[in-house]
Order: sequence, then C-alpha cells, then structure tokens
Amino acid sequence: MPSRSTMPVGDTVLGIAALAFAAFLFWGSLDIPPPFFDPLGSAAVPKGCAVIIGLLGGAVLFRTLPGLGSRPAGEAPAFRPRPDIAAGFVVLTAAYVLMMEMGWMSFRWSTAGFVFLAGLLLGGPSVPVALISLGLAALMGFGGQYLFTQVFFIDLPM
Amino acid sequence: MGGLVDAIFYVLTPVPFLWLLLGVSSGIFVGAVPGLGGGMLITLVMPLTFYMNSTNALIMMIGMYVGAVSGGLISATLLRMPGTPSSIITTFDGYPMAQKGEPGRALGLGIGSSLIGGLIAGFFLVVLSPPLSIWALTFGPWEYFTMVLMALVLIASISQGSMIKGLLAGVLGITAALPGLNESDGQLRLTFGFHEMADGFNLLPVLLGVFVMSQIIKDALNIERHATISGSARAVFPKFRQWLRYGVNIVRSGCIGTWIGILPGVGASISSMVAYGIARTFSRTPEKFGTGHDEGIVASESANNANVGGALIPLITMGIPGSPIDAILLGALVLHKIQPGPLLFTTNAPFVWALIAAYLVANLMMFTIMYFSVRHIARVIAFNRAYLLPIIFVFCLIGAYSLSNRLFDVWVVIGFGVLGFFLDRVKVPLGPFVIGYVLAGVLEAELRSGLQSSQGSFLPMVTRPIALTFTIVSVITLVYPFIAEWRHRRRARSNPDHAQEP
Repeated sequence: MPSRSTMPVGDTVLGIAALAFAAFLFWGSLDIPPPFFDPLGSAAVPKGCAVIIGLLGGAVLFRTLPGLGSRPAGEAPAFRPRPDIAAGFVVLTAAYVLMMEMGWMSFRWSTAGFVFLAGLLLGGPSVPVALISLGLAALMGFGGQYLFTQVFFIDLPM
Repeated sequence: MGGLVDAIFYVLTPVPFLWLLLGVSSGIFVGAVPGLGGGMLITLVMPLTFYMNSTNALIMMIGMYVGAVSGGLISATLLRMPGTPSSIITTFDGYPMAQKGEPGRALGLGIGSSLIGGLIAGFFLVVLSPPLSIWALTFGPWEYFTMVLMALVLIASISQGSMIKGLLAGVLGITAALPGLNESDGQLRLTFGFHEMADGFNLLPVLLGVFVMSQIIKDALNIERHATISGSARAVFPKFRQWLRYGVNIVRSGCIGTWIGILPGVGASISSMVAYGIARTFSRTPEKFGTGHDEGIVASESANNANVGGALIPLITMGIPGSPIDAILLGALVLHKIQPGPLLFTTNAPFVWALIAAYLVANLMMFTIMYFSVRHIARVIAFNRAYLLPIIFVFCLIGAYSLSNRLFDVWVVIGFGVLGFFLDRVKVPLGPFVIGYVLAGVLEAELRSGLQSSQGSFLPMVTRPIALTFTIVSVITLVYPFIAEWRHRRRARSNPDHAQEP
C-alpha cells in the first residue's frame, strides 16, 4: 500500500467529498427512530457507514498532505481527452430525460432529438455524421417506439 | 453427475443453445471492443430477459460472461488496447508478437489457452460446487456475516489501487443500498422526504449507472482515441507437440485462475497478473517475457478464462459474487425471483446444473466462434463509437424505466453514472462498490439475526470456528498492508539506496 497519494488534487477532492458525505449521512441517520424490538435498529448501519466513510475520507486526505504542491508524474495520453464533450453528453442526457419528465416531448421525438444531437456532439459537426445520426435518430425514435411498445409492451412516456 | 449430463443435453437443445450462442457471440464482440465490456452488456440486456425463461436468460448471460472475457484478447493483441481489464496482461506479449508479424499465432495461442483454462475451471466447478453448497448449509448468521465482511475486505485490498480507496468504495456501495424501507422493522430511512426513495435505489438502475453510464461518459471523454489494426488477424494454431510443451504452464495458470476466482471479489485481471508472474518465475527464458513470448500469452489467457469458472463457484454455492460481473449475475438471479445461496442446489438443482453445463458449452462455443471469426471481428472493433454511445444510453433509459414505469430510475442511472465516473477518475475501484451494494442487504440481515440470537453480543464472531476463520482472514487482510509498509519504511531508513530500487 503506497504511503503517499499519487494524485494529490484528485485525492483531496475525494477526501473532502467523503467527509462531507459522511457528515450528511450521519445527519440523515439522526432522524431514524430508535429500535423497538431488535438490538440493532435501522439507524445503526447508516451511522456505522458514516463513521467508516469519515475515517476513510480522513485517511485519503491525510495521505495527500506530503504530496500537495507537487505534480504527479505520468505519461501524457496519446490522444486529447475531451471533458467538454463528456460534460456536454451528460447535460444532453439530463435534458433528454427532463423533456419526458415534464411531459414536453414524447419518447419518440425526444429520443430522435437526443440521438441526433448526441451523434453530432460526439462525432463532430459534419455532413456525413449528421446524415448517419439522422438515420439512427429516426430508427431509435420511431423504430424504438414501435419495438418497445408493440413487442415488449413497455408503457413509454407519451 | 447425472444432473450434469441431463443439463448438458438440455443446453444442447435448440432454444437454450441459440440463446447461449447469442450470448457468447455478443460477449466476444463486446469484449473485443475497447471501452465496452461484459458487465455493461449483461446489465443492458437484463431488462430484456424479464420476458424470457429464467434458465435460458441466465444461460445467455453466462455465455456473455465467457465471451466477453475471451474477446478481450483480440484488441489486446491487435491494438494493444485490452477490450476488458482481464486482458491487460495479454498486451505484454500478444501485441509484441503481433508487431513481429505473427498476430495469427498470438491469437491462436490466446484462443487455445482460453479454452483449456476455461475447461480446467469447469472441472473444479463441477467437482467443488456440490460439496461446498452442502458445507455452506451449516452456516448460521454469524458465518454469513463474517463471510460477507471477508469478501468486502478481500476485494477492497486486492483490487487495483489503494486499499483505503477499495474499502471506501465497498462502504459507499453498502450506503447506496440503505435508503428506503428497512424490511426488518418497517422503518423508512434516508429518504429525505422524497416518496420515490421509499423503495430505495433499485438494483438495475444502480448497475446501469455504475457499469454502463459511467463507461459512456468515460468513452465520451476519450472520444478522440482512435485505433488501427496491424497485420492479418487469422488465428494460427501451434502444433500439438508445442501445446504439450505449454502443458504445465497452462494447467498451473488455469488452477491459479480458478482459485483466485473463488476468492470473493477478485477479478480476472489479478488472476492473469499472478499467473503471468509465476510463469515468468518458473520459465527457462524469463528474459523473453514482455517481448512477444508464447508462455506469457498462454499464462495470461488460461488464467483469466479460468477465473470466470472459479468465480462462479462461490456465486452458485453460497450466493457470494466472486467478481463484479458475478455481482451482476447475482442481481439477475434476484430479479428473476431465484434466491441465490446454498439452498439453490437443494431446491433447484436442475437450474444450477444448467448454469454449470452452460459454462462448459460456452467455452467450447467461444473457441469455435473465435477460431472462425476472429479476423472478421478484428475488422469491426475499431469502429466509430460516436454513433454507439447515444444508442446505448437509450437502452439504459428503457431498461431502467421499464422496471416500474418511472423516470426516477433513469435519474438514478445518470446520478450513479456520474458518481461512478468520478470514482473511476480518482482511482476508486468500482468492483467493491457494486459488491458492497449487492451484499449490503445480506450483511445487515445476517448481522441483525446474529445479534438477536446472541442477545446483542458480537462474541460469536470469535467463538464459532468458521466465523472465527473468516474474521481472522479479514483482520490479516486489513492489517498486513500496514505491517508491510512499516517494514518497507524501516528498511528504507536503514538502507536508503536499497529502498530507491524499483
């Protein structure tokens, strides 16, 4: 087990997030009533988990201290990571689900729109990508609607 | 043994055989595509299997599992991009051999070793499962509690990355299973006023989030990574005499893979790593390892396929998953209303034998499919994922939504996907998270039963022999890394030059 963190920034974020989550979990467990008939009760496991997560989060944070300020050594990837595309994709999926949640669009149209836009986002804006994405959008939106409602009898959002 | 023969005949009848064929083929393809994996495939198809006969559904999933682990060797050999983590070690020798102009030979060695490794594990699966399930019937709540605890500690300590992060992942997984109605006393907990949370987070959306959505986000991040195939990918098999030369290595690696697979939570990548290391130690030409050496491919591939069979042993006999994919299979059993555990052999023996038979037939099927189609698969694995990722998410949405017709489950997929992605970025392993999530219910229920039977005392953990054994293993696993680190530091202080050596 390494004594020092190899990624100080990431581990600092992880440690702080774990501590915050542990506090939140412990606070949420305080509302659970005490046990009526068994020795454990419903609150014991969440409280225990909160304590363990807090301790482990603290340990992660403690290990980052010697490495803070230093840059982690590592090979640069052979390709360019695209956090903008990854974040855009997550936002697009959330918008897709929200459309159906709010009843603004049916499964058919929201799926067609999502597949088309996601294809453009991931493949880059070009005519071939747009054409292929359009075909897939129609297939997933209209074909998917038919397949899942008429064959698998799933009550999709209308 | 009659049960196994009947089950093999059942698997060879047209309907199960076709499901198995579909499972193995799709598994090989998905395993070969870098960025996709067996866990992702099995989780995605799980909702579609609700409409199937449970036995056939699980037979297909076993086929996918075997296929995915085997398919990983194609991209590991031709692209130096392991399709699955279990094939990482295969890149050490498979890719250099392909670069030397012998990709077919590398693939032939990998496919043949995968088959033999899988069959070795199949032998242990057949021989060990019945007595182990009978032994597990003697377990009480304390034995189960300590065993699950041991499983979590083992996976946390042996999985890649630091033990602290592995443990953190396991406890976070347990926490994810806590919200909702506590069945033992009818109390609602951690719902924070949201009525949708009364049922907690359903198993399938959590699995889809952690395994599929997080991978989609990761693939979107790495969308500019492109792969090119080098050389012809037609499998070429070494002569029988040469296979005899590899015999000891294959059998040893197969046994290592099986036994590491039996350890709860330890994945196939660890098996191939250990088998590769031991093969190099015992080799007459250790210096050739890493340069495209036959023995390296043989060790890695026979061990990772044997791991699949080994990991099925605790799943079938005790309901304890041997790897993250086994945790998904455990979830599939529960969703198909099949109670996993030692009683399964007593109450539903034909079903268990059908799974074991499916595993054996799947290995033979994998060998045949890969031998004849590897060059075709090699052509398509480097396709553009930009079109695939949105479609995979639509299937995620339908799978999660169809469970109880509510979009809350789809939000759970997205939420756990983002969480899984973040955990992966900071090198927190997702395997312990999933196993913690799946085993949390058993852990709490057995602890509750145990405490009720012992009037609130934890002493049975050390007074009952089997529970004591599991507790000791857990404690040693937890404490050993700290002792090792302390010894390493002490050595470093006394001899600084020596400590700086790799």
